[in-house]
Amino acid sequence: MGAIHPAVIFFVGAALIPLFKGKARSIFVVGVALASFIYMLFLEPQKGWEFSFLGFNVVLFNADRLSLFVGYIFVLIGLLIILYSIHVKENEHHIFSFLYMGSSLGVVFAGDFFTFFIFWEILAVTAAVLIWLKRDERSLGAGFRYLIMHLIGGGILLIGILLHFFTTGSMEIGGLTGVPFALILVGIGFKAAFIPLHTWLPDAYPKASLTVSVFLSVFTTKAAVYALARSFPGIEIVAYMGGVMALYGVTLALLQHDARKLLSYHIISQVGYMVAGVGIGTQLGIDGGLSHVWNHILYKSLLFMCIGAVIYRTGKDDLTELGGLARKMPVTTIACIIAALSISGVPLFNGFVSKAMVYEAADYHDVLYWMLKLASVGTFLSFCKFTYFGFLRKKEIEAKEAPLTMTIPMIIVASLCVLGGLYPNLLGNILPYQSELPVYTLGKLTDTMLLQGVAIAIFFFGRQLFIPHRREILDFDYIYIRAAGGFMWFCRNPVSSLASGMDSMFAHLARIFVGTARHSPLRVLEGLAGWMDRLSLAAEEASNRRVQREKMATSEQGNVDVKSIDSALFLVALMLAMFLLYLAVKHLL
Amino acid sequence: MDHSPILVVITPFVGAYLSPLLGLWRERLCYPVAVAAALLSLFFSFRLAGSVLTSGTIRYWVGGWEPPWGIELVVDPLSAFMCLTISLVSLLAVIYSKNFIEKELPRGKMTSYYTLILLLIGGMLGVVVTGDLFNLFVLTEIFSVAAYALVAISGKRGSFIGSYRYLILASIGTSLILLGTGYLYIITGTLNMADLAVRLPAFYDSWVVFGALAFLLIGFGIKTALFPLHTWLPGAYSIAPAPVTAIFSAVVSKVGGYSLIRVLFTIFGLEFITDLVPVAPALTWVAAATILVASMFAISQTSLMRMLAYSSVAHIGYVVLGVALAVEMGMTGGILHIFNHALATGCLFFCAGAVIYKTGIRHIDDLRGLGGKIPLTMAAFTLAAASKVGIPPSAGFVSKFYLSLGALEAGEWIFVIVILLASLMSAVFYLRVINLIFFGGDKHEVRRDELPLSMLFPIIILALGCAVFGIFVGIPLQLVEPAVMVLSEL
Repeated sequence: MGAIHPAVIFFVGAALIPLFKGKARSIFVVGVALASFIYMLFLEPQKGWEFSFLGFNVVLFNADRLSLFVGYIFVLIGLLIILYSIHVKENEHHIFSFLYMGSSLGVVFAGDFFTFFIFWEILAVTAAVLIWLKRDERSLGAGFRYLIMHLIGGGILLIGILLHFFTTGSMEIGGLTGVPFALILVGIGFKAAFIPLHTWLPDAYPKASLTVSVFLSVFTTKAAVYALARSFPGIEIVAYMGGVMALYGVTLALLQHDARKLLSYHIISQVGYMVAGVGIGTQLGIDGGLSHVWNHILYKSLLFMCIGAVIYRTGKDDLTELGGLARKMPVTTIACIIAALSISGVPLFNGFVSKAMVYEAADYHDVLYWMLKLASVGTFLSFCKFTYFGFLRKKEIEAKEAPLTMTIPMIIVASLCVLGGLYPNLLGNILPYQSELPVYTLGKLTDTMLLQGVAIAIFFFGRQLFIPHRREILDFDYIYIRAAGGFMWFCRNPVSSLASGMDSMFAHLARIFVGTARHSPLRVLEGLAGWMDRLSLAAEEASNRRVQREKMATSEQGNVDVKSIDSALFLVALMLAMFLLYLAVKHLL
Repeated sequence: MDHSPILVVITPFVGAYLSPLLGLWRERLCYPVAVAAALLSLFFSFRLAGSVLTSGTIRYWVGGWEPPWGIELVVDPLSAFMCLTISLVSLLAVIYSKNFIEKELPRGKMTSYYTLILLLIGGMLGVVVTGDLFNLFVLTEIFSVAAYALVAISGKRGSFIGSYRYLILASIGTSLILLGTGYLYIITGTLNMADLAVRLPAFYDSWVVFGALAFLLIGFGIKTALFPLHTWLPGAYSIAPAPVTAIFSAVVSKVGGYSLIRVLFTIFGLEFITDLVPVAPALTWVAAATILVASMFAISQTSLMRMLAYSSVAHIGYVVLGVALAVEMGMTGGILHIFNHALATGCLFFCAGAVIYKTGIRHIDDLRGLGGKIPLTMAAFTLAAASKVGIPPSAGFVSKFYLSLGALEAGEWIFVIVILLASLMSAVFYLRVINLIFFGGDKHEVRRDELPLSMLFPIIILALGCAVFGIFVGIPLQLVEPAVMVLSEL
């Protein structure tokens, strides 16, 4: 059987959570996360838990350098976020966050497409439940849209997988061509927030509770990036999609006023870098993309933790209302500045290192290179906006420093961010291809400094431009929501009235049918006709149809009340008649 | 000689005779009789399944009379599989009935309720074990008559009309079945299915055979509630008492589907229905239409029972689709779905009944916050709904996975898209309900008030089944795979 699958630790933990209460539960929850972290450190690359199913091998546990790399960061950050969210009282929250993390590990260690798909779907469902746990109208709607989008993506992925299985006869990940290639790419693209399939992300993440959005910011998209790295390395179209995501995300981020929505668009933008790196597909590109996964998880979760702490203390998450937090919440502010510097790719912080790797890899793709560079200027600008308006500017606000259970994980993550920047080759050993790039060269430093100087100048002189305003920014989801609304309307109205219209039409036709039968020379049929006539009369009387219809019309119930007897009788009679006619004609010929 | 094939049928009938007699004396005695009868037939079903697995198809001559004169019971893996499904769901429904019936039915109906439900169970079990077309017709009539009465039993407004509609349409169905049976008898001179299968090829070009096939298809199509002929179903389902509805949607319509399979595969044979007369391809399209249209109807419903009813129409479509694809994977998926869907839909209707029992709520919008009031029931509802939507790793996912593979195997990728679309639509309407239940209201306003154990037990068992058989697929497949082998060989 080999080693235990790390996801099992989380699943069993989730099952045991209801047994504990209060302090004991907190200790248990952190203990499980710690156990998984320590366990993961001792995992060797291996393959295990294989079953035969439907003529293919199901490999539940396939740990190689790539999956272990992503696994390490998942359990590390999982531990820290669980610590951060320990103040949440609801059992459900902890249970589903465990399931969520467990299934993300399941995706990462999946050794075949079947396993991959199953955990992929559980990941979507548990995430949706986490969003719903906020229990207000906005999160209900957002979670609903989130889940529907992901189910569509999952369905497309499944069709792709099935086609792949049918053409090649193997469920192994990789070796994709033709139609399955496209379908699986689109299916994974739903989770990786490809433009224009990204709308669930900025829709749902700001509407979840403050701890949940920290969880969400880490696992879903990164699992998708992992999937891309595994099955689509070195596909040019993916690389350019990464560039588009980076630019599109940062552009929309600049326009936001809701702090978490801004951060959500930055997830898209940063995932763009990873996708670009993976899409370039050279060893350096993949390593760059993956180390960006690692670094991004750190600073992005730190950003969400900071804004979460702010929401926890002030109840506000809108940049128009925030500010003046530097004195009131110093630790949070410093952590946030460190995270902002990291995401903007300032030297000495970890974002710089992995971005430098991606740039280096993108060197031969001019357009892509400049797309990413441009996006980095936008990133710097929007984090000037974020930290300045959210924390630094002068404003009166009621707040105090976040509790220790929140600040400690924040301090740890912040120090990891700095550590990653100071020792750029720290990850070299565990990266799949062990690329080590000397990032602190003069050329790279001046290059970066120049662009960031430009960004600072823009922000300094054009500060008025960046003042957050409350406004609605339309994204692609406007179209989707309209389309979905149209479909629901279609089901509620035309389909309903079609059903009753069909019904009354059938009633009329049946009457005509009966009438012609009566007046035709076919006297034989008369008995039947009279019987049918009486029957439909009786049925109509018995069902009190007119009154019922009126009632339905007034009370506006959307019931499709398909009247059965007339239509069914008619149909059967029609089939019979046609059949008899057919027989007769055939006989005569 | 092992008498299980006849015992499995006779037990509920004996119960049905005993129950009115005992009911005259003490009404309360009917319940234990019904439970005991259902339990016994479940036991015999297990024995049957066991012996089918070890020694292959069982042919049992009732009273020792040989086939042309006596009644032959034929239990192949498919029959054993159906027997297990039917008796399992029926047993749970009977257990569930105790508290529900005491509250929801008028006084003095208990005796007739249990008698009728035993007749219903016996009839269905008879249909699936018989090896004789005419017996199949007779037993179909028996369980249908019991079903008409059960729809009307609550005596509430609308129940008679619903029952009447159901009766008219289903009688048309059964008369067509009788006609078809008659045609086949006239031309071949036998009613035994195995005999028919041997003698029919000589008459493959005869119009009488086509006529018989058409009659049988339409007749069983009505029983199965395929798309244009489904109209009796939502009315009947929303009116009948919840445990009866659970039996209806979980197994009664599947028995129709079973008969369809028997007619198509056992009597006419694979070659005839796919090559000579392309009935099977036509049926796949009918099934696809059923799936899509019923899902759309389900979206537009405001009443929980009706929504579930339409959803179960859609799922019968899956069963027929899989079987009519006439490839190994598809048939496996279709037959497996009989079982998986029986678990899920039984659980859902039990839950809907539980909601009615506890609160009287029938409308979806009123379900707000019930997750706090009856959390276990609603958790079971969620599991079953997940299985119906086909979210892995639930049981429903596995059978849909097989179905999709089957559609690809048959080269009909369009059906994969149909399955996907319908699953998405069902996600829409189930998610709406689940949303309201768990996240719709303030959790702390309602007091927890769980169901009585006799109702909770069946719900939990079925919900666990939905989860367990998604992971341990091998258990039902033990019977399904040989069933498919037997069917496609003939």
